[in-house]
Amino acid sequence: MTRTVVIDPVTRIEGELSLELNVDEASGTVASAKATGTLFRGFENIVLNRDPRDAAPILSAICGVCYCDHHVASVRAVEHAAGMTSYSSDYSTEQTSIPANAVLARNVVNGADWAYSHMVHILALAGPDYHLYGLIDALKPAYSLSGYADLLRQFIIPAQQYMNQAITLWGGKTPHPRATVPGGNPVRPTADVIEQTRIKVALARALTDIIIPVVWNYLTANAAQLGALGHGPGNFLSMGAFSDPTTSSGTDNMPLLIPRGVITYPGTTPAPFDPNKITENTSLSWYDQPPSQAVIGEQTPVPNMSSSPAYTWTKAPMYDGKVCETGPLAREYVSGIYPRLGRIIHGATSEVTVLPYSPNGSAFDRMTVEAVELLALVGSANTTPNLQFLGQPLNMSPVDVLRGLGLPQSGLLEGWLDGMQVGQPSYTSSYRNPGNAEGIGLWEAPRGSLLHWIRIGNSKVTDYQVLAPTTWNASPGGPLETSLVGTPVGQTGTNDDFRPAAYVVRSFNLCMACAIHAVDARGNDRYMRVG
Amino acid sequence: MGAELTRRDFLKLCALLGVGAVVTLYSSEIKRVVGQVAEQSGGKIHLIWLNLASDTGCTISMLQASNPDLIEAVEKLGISADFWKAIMTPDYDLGWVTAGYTQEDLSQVPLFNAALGNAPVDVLVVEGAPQIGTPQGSSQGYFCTTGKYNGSPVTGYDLLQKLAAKATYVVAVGQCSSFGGIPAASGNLTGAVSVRDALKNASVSTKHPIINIPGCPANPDWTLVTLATVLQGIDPDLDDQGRPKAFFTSYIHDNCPRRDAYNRGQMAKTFDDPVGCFWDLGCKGPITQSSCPVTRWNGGTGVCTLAGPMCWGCMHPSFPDPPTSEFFTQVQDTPTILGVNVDEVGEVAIAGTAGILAVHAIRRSIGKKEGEQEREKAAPPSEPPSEAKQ
Repeated sequence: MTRTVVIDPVTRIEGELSLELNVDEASGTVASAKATGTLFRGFENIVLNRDPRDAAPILSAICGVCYCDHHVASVRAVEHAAGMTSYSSDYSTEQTSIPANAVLARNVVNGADWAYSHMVHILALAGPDYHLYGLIDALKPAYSLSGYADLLRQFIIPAQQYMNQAITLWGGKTPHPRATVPGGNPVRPTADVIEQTRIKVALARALTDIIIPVVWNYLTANAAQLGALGHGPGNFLSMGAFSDPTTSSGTDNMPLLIPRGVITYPGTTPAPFDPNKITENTSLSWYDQPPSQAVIGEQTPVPNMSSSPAYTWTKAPMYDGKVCETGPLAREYVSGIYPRLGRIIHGATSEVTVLPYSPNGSAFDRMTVEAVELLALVGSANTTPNLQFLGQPLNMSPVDVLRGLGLPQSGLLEGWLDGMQVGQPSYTSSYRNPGNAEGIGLWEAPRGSLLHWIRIGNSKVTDYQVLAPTTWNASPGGPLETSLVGTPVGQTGTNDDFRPAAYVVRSFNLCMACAIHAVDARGNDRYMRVG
Repeated sequence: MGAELTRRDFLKLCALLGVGAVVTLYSSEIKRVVGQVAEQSGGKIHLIWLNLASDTGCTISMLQASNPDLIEAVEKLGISADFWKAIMTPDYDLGWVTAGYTQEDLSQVPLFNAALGNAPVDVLVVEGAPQIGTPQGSSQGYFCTTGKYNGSPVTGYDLLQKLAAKATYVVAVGQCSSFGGIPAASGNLTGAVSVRDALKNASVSTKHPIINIPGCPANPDWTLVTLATVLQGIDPDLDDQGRPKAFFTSYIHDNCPRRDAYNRGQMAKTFDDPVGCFWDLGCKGPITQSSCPVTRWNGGTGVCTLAGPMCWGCMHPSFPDPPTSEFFTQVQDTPTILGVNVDEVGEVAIAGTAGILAVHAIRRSIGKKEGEQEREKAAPPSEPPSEAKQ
């Protein structure tokens, strides 16, 4: 005996998502789930026949949350097409002719964009599900908080504003700083703008140093419960971000701070990433096109809602025929940072032997990694050893965590500022529109892997594909649907019945607007279908 | 900051200086004026924030508001955001409440209660473009649905019609709802249009003129000041595009931080020029009406012509189509003879423009092709009406 519960619209996520849960009454758990993206805008079609440089300022508006990331991914695709940037044959390093300062400025802008997005997601979007991690009670004695509005006013709103102001120093405004153009990031790194950025980071750090330990202790105290929720397919994908031009090779051979790679269940070590292995399946999506195409070279979408059994605008991307999860958990699993965190914690308590807590990922893993990424970006001056795990003291502070992970105490954002050469250019005007060329822009948005692919003919856009993080995660048969299966549903008839499902859904930091513009998978190779 | 502002003075100042300047100069007074509105309203103001074809960027923009900030505004205006999908608090958390709702019990579903039931709607804010097209194999408006009612998805277009007819004020926040924006750009497949055109198409009339606050995104300080104004029961002075004149009368080029360079004829040749004017590189400041350079963004931190690197025309009715694009191509047609609309700009702004005009005229004459001077002398080409986007 099952009953169907429709949650539509799902709130406190970006965009339009409808969820259909089939609840098995006997076991009181979700037997199967259907995630439907209910808004189609068709961005790829809109950029056709335009100047290739015009794609980025339009495509940044795919997402009003991770605007910097779509923008830079498009610019990188155009620079790749123009021969200014190239990838090594295994996609592990990059070479570019734009100045090192420009690479670092893009790291600062997008790093700040990750930090603000993580703050908003952890605190304002997912936070209410977790009773705000007990932040109000924890902070009340020192900051006289009377409720959520006070928490928003004193901590959440200012913290994310400082990060947006840091972006504004390099990009003019947010949302949608359209500053990065083919050739670099034109604001020259003067001592003044660098110092102003440092101040914004320090102001944000003062707030995150108060918030992060409380969030950490709440999540880890509930690791057992949250770790049992939201198990995905166990395949993890990272397309890499933050190339480093400060090694002895300069911009000729830049390693990536967030490496590219794919972990395939039940393995735990990443294999090299190859964009040519990505396909998009549309057999359950409202499009008129071959059921499976390689994303590189895929046709622009033709919407058609009559094709049964399709039920969503989201396509189903696959890597080498496999459904993959993407996001902070995926990339920090691939980077090795998150497993390293597990070893640090294991050294301080016997409670956990390995992270990810679940090899398939879980609500706990996704939220915790995001908090750690925020810590890594902004840095910490907090040396109070109050961090816990499963309620047990670890005798570790946020600074200890950063040291243990081999990350700079002052944070990655300040590290990139440190690497800038003051007064040197951050832009080259050598870019010219290519006549006929193709380019790939690989990047990581706050919520996961992002690919932009452009084909240019007669110096105009003739084909374009965007493959966004939530397209992977909220696809038909994808990680979100898989993760919901087995989630307990209460019988009280109140909102609390669906709180575990809320943990699972919001742990993905979904962005439906990103997900749908368009995406594919191997038709014969039926992906992991649930229910 | 001078003597205390009364509410009446505040509005007078907005009209005289432009709200952008007032926001910059009188932030603390604005907060107080906003408080007065709340006292007057004597209760909760019911606001529905409806997302259509959008990217939620205008909601994120609201989080960047500084004068006052969003929480202050919501509290002081006594706003009850009955539905604001992206950031609603748990008390109004429709999604999870919906899970248990029955079709008879509309009161459990704030959005439907407002659109189809008896709940009051004082202000309808629309973020995103209504899509009036029909997907193949489906019905009109099905490119965007929000929620299910009686088992069927409800289209955004339908919700807009119901809510707009009922609301006291309809405010289109952002480029997509004001003018169609990027979803309505050339090449789109979904029939995205502005709120104004969608309601015209559906023959739905509103109680007050639709207020458009264009921009990608809308400037949050202007949005809050506009809400504060309408909640005082005062219709802001709108231009023929439905924009509050206070923010959208002057051209960005008029007040640009790089304007001095332009006056000297110092034109940037590359985007990393820290001083020069970006006109030749494609800046859309000369054709885009907005107070961006005065209010600036993110608490006054920046503006596109300082670090963006240039104006992209994101508040121009045609954005992102011509004449705002090609973005990297120099604008030729200017709305007024020399980028300065003499009739609209107040005396204060005019001071010193005599020199500007002369320098500009010289610069524009150099290397000019035959016929271009004629075009400049001709009457200003009016900006395309929003209907042109259909």
